[in-house]
Amino acid sequence: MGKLGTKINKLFKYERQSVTRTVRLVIWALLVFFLIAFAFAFISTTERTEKDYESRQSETIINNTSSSIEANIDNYTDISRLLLLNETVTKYLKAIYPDIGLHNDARFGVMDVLNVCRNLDSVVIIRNDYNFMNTGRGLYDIKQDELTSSEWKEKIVKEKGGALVLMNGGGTFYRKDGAPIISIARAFYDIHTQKHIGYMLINFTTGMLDRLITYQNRSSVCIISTDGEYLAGNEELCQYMSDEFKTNNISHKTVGLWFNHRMISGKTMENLPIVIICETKASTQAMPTEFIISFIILMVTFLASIFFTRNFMLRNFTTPIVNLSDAMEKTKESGWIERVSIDPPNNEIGILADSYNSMIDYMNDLFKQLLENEQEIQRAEMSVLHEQIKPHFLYNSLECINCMAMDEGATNVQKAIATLGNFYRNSLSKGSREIPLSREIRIVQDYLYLQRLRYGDVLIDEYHLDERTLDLVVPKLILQPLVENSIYHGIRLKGEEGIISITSRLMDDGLHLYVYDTGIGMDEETINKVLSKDEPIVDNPSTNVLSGFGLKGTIQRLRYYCGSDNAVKIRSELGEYTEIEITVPVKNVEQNKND
Amino acid sequence: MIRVMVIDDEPTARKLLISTIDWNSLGMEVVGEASNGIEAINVIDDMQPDIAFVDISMPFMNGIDFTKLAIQRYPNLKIIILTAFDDFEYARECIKLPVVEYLLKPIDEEEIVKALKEASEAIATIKSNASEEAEGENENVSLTKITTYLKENYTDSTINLMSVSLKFGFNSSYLSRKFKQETGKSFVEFLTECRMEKAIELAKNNMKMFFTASEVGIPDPNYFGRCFKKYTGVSYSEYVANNSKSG
Repeated sequence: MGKLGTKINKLFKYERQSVTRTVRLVIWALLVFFLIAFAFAFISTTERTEKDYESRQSETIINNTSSSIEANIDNYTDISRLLLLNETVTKYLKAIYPDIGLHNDARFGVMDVLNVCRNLDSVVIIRNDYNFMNTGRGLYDIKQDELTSSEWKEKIVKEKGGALVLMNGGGTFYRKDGAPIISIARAFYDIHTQKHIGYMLINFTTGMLDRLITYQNRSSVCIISTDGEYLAGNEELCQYMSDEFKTNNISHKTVGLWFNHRMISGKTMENLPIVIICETKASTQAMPTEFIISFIILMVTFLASIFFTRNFMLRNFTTPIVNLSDAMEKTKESGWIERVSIDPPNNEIGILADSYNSMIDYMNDLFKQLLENEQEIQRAEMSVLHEQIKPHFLYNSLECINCMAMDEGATNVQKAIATLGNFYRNSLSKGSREIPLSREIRIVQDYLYLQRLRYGDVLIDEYHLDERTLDLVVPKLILQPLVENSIYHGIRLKGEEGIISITSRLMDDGLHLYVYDTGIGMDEETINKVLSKDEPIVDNPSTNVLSGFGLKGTIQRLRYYCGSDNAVKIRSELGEYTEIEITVPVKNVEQNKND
Repeated sequence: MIRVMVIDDEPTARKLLISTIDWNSLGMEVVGEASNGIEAINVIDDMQPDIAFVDISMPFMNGIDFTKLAIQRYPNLKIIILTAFDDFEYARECIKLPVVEYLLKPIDEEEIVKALKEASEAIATIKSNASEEAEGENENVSLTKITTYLKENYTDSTINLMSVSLKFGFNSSYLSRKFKQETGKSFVEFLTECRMEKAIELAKNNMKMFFTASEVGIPDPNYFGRCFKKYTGVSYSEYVANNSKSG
């Protein structure tokens, strides 16, 4: 059973089954199982009832037949008694030499009696000297040997005057046409002396039996002698004759298969060498109507309850589960962590949906909290970073070196040190995130001055600044990384003197800043890569260290600051120029201070 | 004398290093400089240094790529990587080899002297062990094969005397001598001629210098510019202005 269970499970798991399908399958399996059980019960009950009915029916037929035959035999036995008292017959038997006169007298005497009854084929009166008188003269063959043998006579004598039924006169008389005859045999005794004087055989044909059974159903009854000789009725039934019918009780056996099966019943009649065989077939009469009706009612009730159960399960369990899982799946596919919105029933499934929703809520809360925490940490890290660079120490050292350079008359060193000091002062600027544009420009100028010291005069810087823009605030260190990019990825790679030009314009939609260089330019692919948001800023250490990571980081920073992806635009022609345009919202210094 | 070469893209940094150390007292002399890996590859065979100072962050060919290449071609060369803090750990990750020494910028005289002394000891043992190498003459390979190879491969920016010698199974000094003998030009002159002829062709087509430079196998336009001027007598831009087909 356990094995079967796992097999069924395997069958279900063969593909990912829906709950609905599983329920349907189980219901159908139940239905089939119960239908088979019903059919089995129905067939076995029907068979049993049929058998009972058939045996009852056959018993009735056999008993009827048998009692009719007995009645007839009794009737003839009575007639035989009349003959016993007939004088002419007695005379014939008692005569020492029976002449033809006595013979004929006896014949007519018997004929008188026979006239009152039908079906008697003949009467034979046999003297002890085996002379005999036969009313059906010429119709019979006489077996002289049997007649003279003592065997059959002894049987008759044993009856002590009672009647004995024999086939064909106990083997002594046969009809010439071969038709079997039934004989009632008696012994004659002298009334006065009680001495045995002769025998009598009353022979009649099977026509008597035929007539008897026409009252029954002729085709279903067959009468046979115990020797197996057909006597009357349906001759086909003779083939079923067997030893089990040679008792005085009714025996049954079934022949045929399936829808052709029949019951054969039979018995041997008491004291008679006659077997009655009866065939009964199943018929609709066998089943009582009530039984069939109650069976149908049971069936319909069962089917109805199965379908009710199915619908109940589908409505209350399966469909809500499917709806819930569909809703969850949809949420999953959408890629968002959202509540499911279905109307579940008020049971465990409803609780499940509620739990799922509250879990989603909880997760969303967690995400939000995580995000906030992360932002908080970033802010904290930034301020720590600003704190860590101790500007005072740096500035003081630089000032000291500046002073030494002045003492030794190293004007260039003095200027370089002063510029470096300025650069750091402006860049750090007390950790504030926004500075006036003029200061940002100053950072760029200092930066370019220092870079020229390192690499020689490979670059010229130009500034085209709108007066009105100088006091506007911009995020700190937005121009310097762009200029750095222009040097390292533009001008230095070209091998020629290059120009870096910085322009500011005030327009309706904000402050526009342009960083232009005459470097090698950028191709479309590089521009897209720099502007794309998908690729992480730092994807591997080599790009971090050795390529323009500052540019991408700055662009990202500007986008956050402006809240717009269009804050940065890049125009370029390979081998000619690169121009980066940034647009930031207009903000005055005063406003910034008020913040 | 132990020969020292300095490779750094900042002229001031090179100058500082060269003037800070008292090379003579260490038995050393600075034989040359290069501003990046490309230039270094082109001049290293002439200078035959025993020690090379290499900066990491350089344009066109950075210090890591150059070091990887140099380790293969010059197994006896001691390399000292001199780098700023930003690149230090990264460089150490890239090249984990004992022949390489790492020093942090800004330079500290004591550290450098210590490293140089260690290097000079190592070089002394190498030189004493190395008997005069056989000439490794390979007469089977005719020089035309090499010149053909150069004509076909001069656009490869990593090609130099050593790489060709290794490829064809020659001793580099032997090849250098034989090359001069048979062609009348040094190896470098021949390679440069191949490149410059192509460059002149491109210049006539009004190509930008940086583009031409990378086309002919000298992706560093500064070094290319110097080579071009040396070869033609005029700067590239002047040449373009005078000879451009488009006028």
